Amino acid sequence: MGPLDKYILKEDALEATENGFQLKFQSHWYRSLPLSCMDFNLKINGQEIEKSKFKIKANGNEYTYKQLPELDKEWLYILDRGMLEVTQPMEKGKEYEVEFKYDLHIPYILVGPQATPLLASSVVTKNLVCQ
Amino acid sequence: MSSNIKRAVSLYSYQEEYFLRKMSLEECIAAAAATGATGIEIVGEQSVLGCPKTPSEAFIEQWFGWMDKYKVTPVAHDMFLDYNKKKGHYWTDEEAVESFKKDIRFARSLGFKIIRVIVNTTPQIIEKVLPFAEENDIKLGIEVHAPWNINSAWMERHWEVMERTGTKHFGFIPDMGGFTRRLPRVQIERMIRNGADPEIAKYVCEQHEKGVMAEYTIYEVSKMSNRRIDMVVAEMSRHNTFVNPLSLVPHMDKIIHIHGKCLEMLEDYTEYSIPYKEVINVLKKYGYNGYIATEYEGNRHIQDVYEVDSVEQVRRHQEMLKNYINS
Repeated sequence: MGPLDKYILKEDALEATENGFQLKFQSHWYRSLPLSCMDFNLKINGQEIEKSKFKIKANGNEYTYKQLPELDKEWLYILDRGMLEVTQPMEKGKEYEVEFKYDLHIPYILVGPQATPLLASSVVTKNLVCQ
Repeated sequence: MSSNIKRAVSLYSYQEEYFLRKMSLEECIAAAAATGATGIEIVGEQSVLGCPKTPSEAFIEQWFGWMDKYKVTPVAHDMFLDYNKKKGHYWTDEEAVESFKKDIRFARSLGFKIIRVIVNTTPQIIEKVLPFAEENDIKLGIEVHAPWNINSAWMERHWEVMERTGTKHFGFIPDMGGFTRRLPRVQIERMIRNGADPEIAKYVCEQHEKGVMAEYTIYEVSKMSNRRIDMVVAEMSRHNTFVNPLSLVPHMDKIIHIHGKCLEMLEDYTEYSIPYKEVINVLKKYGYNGYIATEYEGNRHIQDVYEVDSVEQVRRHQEMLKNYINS
């Protein structure tokens, strides 16, 4: 649970693209964090999307899911939205059930005997119309 | 002993409205100024795009323009040490010091004289960065945040650095959350909405208010329930501590700033959990000189059922501070 978890997905979050769709998300933490501190799980109509299919976009840059742990210099500002792009067809105007799990590993709150980052995880389930 | 207590607002207080773009950065500053507060505090990575990089000349000019327009002063920037941004790579002290220096440059560029140092920062790192802080005339204040209090062993290690170096650029920043006599109602109610047992929650609140040590309460609750959420309620007593405000007295000359934590400001201008009057009376009597910055944090506990009104919560907190400081 993050302090702002209610607002991760806005009504316009789901958008059809030329090759599939993208999901626009906003962080649920009060302080900006780099992409290396994030992880995502996505289900559309109950069907889990394979993570290797994710393209992650932030600040006009694009990355594969595999690159995510290395992106400690690519910060997502709290007012900006990041995007998950997936090459899977989606119909404009149709409603989809979206389940988005957004994990933030808070790099300055280290917990437990191994001093691992606190996991602030939020799951949002919303019916969204594809824009 | 004369005191000079001034009022500030941490723009962190408006995080909900800022996040939703209902308020811009300028509007947050304006709202803070409208309460009569004269100081501004920020979490850099929340309020300023690109922090801790030094902001552009254009932003700096705009920032000081706002300070003049609303007749407020930059007081404190809150810094963090992101020790573990990459899995498996934990910062060395040198990396932490370099990050810290970026925050000092950032703070200086926007006119802040104080940096709130996150509580888990080691005394060694602070000692390494102190000469740079002194050169830049920035005071570092270790956050005294629950479950620690100003007399905890961890704070004593920081106190030793203050004493040994004799520096004027390192001190304490107590958080008023360390004086939580009653557990925050908004937090308890949220836990119940999330599925916590109301009877256990009631028991934990009663034990906390009686001053029963948190570990005993946690142990008793572990016998009542095997559900994680009930244990989280019990653990609230550990993370919302109460210590006697007189504990501040021996360190008064080393307190450089105070965080005025609040989670629920009531219509009668009191905070539900924290006996502000008692704490401010101690600060006045023993000569505290510095700011108390409102830090409203209740939004996260009510946003599932209520419209958050941070502006009103901050206004009430500032009214309360004004009343107690001037009475």
